[in-house]
Amino acid sequence: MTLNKNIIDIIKVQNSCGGVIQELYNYETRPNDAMRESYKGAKIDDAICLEIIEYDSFDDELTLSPDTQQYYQTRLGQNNETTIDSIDTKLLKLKTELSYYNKRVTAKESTDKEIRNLSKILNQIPTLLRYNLYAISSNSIFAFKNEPNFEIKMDKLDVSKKEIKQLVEASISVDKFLKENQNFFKSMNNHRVNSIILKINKNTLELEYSFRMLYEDIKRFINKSIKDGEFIKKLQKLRELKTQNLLFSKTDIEEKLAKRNHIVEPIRDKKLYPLDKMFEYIDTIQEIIQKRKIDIQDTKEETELSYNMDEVIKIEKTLYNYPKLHEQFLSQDDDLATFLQTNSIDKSKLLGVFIRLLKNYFLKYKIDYEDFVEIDKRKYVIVKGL
Amino acid sequence: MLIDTKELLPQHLQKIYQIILRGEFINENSSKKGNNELYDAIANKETEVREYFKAIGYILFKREGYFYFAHDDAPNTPSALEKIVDYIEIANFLKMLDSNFGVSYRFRLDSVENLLNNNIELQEIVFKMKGLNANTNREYIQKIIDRLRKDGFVEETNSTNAEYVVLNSYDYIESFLDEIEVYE
Repeated sequence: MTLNKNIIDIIKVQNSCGGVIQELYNYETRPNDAMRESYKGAKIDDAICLEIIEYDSFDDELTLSPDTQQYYQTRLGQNNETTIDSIDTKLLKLKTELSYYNKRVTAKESTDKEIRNLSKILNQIPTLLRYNLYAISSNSIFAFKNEPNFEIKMDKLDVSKKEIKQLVEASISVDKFLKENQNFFKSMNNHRVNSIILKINKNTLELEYSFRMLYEDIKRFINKSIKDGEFIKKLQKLRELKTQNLLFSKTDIEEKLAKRNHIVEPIRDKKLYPLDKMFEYIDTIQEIIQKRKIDIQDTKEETELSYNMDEVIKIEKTLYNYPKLHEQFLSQDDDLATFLQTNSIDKSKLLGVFIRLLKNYFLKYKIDYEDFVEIDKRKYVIVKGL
Repeated sequence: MLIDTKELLPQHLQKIYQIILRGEFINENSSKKGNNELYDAIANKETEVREYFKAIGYILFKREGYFYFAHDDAPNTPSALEKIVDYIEIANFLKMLDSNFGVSYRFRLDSVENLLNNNIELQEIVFKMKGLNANTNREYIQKIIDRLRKDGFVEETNSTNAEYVVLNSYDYIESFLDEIEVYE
């Protein structure tokens, strides 16, 4: 089994374990049997099939299987019997048992007990190596993907890196021990011991690849995290420069921005609302009027009765003294159009005078857009003085 | 180069036009209906799509897991600069909140709010961020997520639990900020 497959399996098991443990808890706290029964579906059945949990049909009890429990204890560092250091301890125990075995052989005594002990310890070694591999793998992936604090993440990844090195050394020690003592084991001529040693050798070969892959994965996690750390530092620096108004002088942001191909900006329709303020367009209107005046001049027929527009304006200004009209308007109660009509303004000039007053004094007028007064079939908005 | 428009499906072209008008990204990891399908369609006919839109002044860009269109001769707009400057604060805040924040990051509003509730330093930073008129930590987070959604960097995956995923297009911001050189 390769490490990649292992990691996926581990994540799957972990994910299902998380849900299963929660379900297990829920199952145990169901208020009545009927609800407990209905809850037996879903993941619990799968977990029982996968031997993650065990179900006792006699007393209806659900428990974590010893394997799952041991795995979690190893991962959480809650079991001193399953740590990486415990592999060295097991090797020491093996050495001691072998020395007892030798003494018994020399004394021509029964070696059954020593062989039983040796088998038992040897049998634990592959599981220990595997559990610790899973634990380091899970812890490093969890730290890399889920630890929000950058410094804690780096610490945890460093610990995982040290642990995988330690685990590789422990595995090498196991190999070395088996090679150094292979003559003893052969001399035992015990079927069980031989099969366990074969199992250890097979496991070690499989695990060797997994160790290497996990070591590479952890190195990759660390390198990626270092890069992330540098990016975080840069963001903090940029923010600091922004706060000090030094962003543009102390960085090449403008240059980089100029070189970048930016995503197209959304196209929005600019709507002209009826409530648009007339005075915002006065300059434009004046320009149009100005041009129109030239057009009129250009197209008019040359006759003796031709007139100069500036002259007309001058005459109008004399005829209609706008500041005075404005003052008069403010001193009475009628709306502007009615006021102008009753003020002997030439009918044909009424609209022009109305607009001019509005243009000049709009800040002092209140305009009612909802209501109109009709004069000569033309509607004028109601304008009153403020 | 002659472009065989028969090779391009009309419904895809229509969608691309709409995306250009809205100034959106086309993400491979979007679960929004049709978005990842459109990504695959463009990936399959990348050359044709590029040539087709080049003729009308749009350049197709492919990045890690996303596409976007740019104008072939568009000058820098003040809004582009403003957007990048805004994102210095946003990206910094999000990375400080969770160093894992980046492309493909999945989160729940509740969990992100908890991270902020437990970080006084970050609370001070977010209070000073411009344009966020909020009263509670949750409102601050919600406003930042809304901004990310509006700009096409985040997508809601579950509205009941307020779950989100960071789209590949977030790289557009991160890669730019990463490229900026700070003069010492």
